[in-house]
Amino acid sequence: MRNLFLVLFFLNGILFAQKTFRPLKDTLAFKEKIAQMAIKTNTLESDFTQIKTLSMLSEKMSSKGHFCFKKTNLLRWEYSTPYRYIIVINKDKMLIKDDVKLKKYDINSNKIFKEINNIMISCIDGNVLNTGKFKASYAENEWNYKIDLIPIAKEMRESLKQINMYFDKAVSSVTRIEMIESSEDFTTIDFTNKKINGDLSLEKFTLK
Amino acid sequence: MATYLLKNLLLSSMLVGFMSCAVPLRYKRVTSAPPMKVLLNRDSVSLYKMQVYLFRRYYTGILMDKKINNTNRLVFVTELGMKIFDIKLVADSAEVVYCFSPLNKPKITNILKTDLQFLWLKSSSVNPDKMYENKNKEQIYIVEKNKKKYWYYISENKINKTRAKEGAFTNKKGHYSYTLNNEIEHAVLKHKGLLRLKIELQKIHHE
Repeated sequence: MRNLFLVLFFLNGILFAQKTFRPLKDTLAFKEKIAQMAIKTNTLESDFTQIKTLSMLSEKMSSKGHFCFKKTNLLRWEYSTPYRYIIVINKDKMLIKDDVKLKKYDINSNKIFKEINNIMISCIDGNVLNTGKFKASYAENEWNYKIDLIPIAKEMRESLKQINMYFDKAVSSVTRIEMIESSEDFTTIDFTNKKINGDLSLEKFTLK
Repeated sequence: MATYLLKNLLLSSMLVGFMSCAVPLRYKRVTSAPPMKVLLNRDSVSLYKMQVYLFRRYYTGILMDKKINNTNRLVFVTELGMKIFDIKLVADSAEVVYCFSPLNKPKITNILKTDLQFLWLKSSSVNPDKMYENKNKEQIYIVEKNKKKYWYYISENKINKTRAKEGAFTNKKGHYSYTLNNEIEHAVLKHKGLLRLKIELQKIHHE
């Protein structure tokens, strides 16, 4: 019995060591892979699971849906749970559709959407390191690369403390985004069933 | 001619204003009526789809109402996960725990605090000062508090409509609909007058 505990303890230690991120030594090579990803990615389609953790209230809010990206600046978030809802960003226009209504807005009228979508687009197209808005640090483990981004502007830091981005080892696309707020609440978005550079018609980014 | 028209317009505006503040004739004043039952959600956590139109800006997302004893903690999060506000309602007071910095201005947070209190019927624990009833046993209760008048339109023991008169330009109305389980299904708050604010809530049912 004691031996079993020892084995379990040892295995747990190995798994923990594998999950733990260590600082990345060759950051230049990694940045080059990110730049290549940005050049190669023209479209991206995937399912997503978004979990918002409210630390103070010990509550989680989860949403699921389908995500589409097309170069340049075209985004579609189609939520299926907890309710059906589509947000499309088409250049400077934001279209929102639920079961009943379709609304069109100038994205500049909603700073929150604008900023978050800029971050999302730059995370996906790999330009996040070139925006000059974040201080970046790099890490890796057995399976992933991780970039920790700390906003430079004070106004942004008041709402958003840190963004963490995860990539697979092939650096084909972002697999997870974590947004940590100054209140320690955080949102994670996991991208699964990804399809890179598949056919994605422009109609996906117009709503009627 | 112009003076005549202006006089008529002024008179009719005054009449409309007077009528809008009066109890309809079919209601008679009563001294006792059923107690005011506030039928709020019994779940410890309720989720609402929320839309806020404020000063030409539009915010949409999910509102979480977490009940802890007599406190309602209302957290509004956009679909993309950004927290807009976190407001704590305790009896007759409201506290802003967090508000997204572009909106974190006293004018806006005060409106949000009073409107969410109003929408959550937090002032209804006070006994009505005046009560009216019609033949169909529908009631109007009027509560006067801090120089403000709150009207509650009640039928079948449910508050269907509320109205608050706080000043010449800040008249607001709340509408409620309920499920068969007496839980709030849908609520709308609308400011009438110079201030443009509308809050709309639709309960999200778990699958």
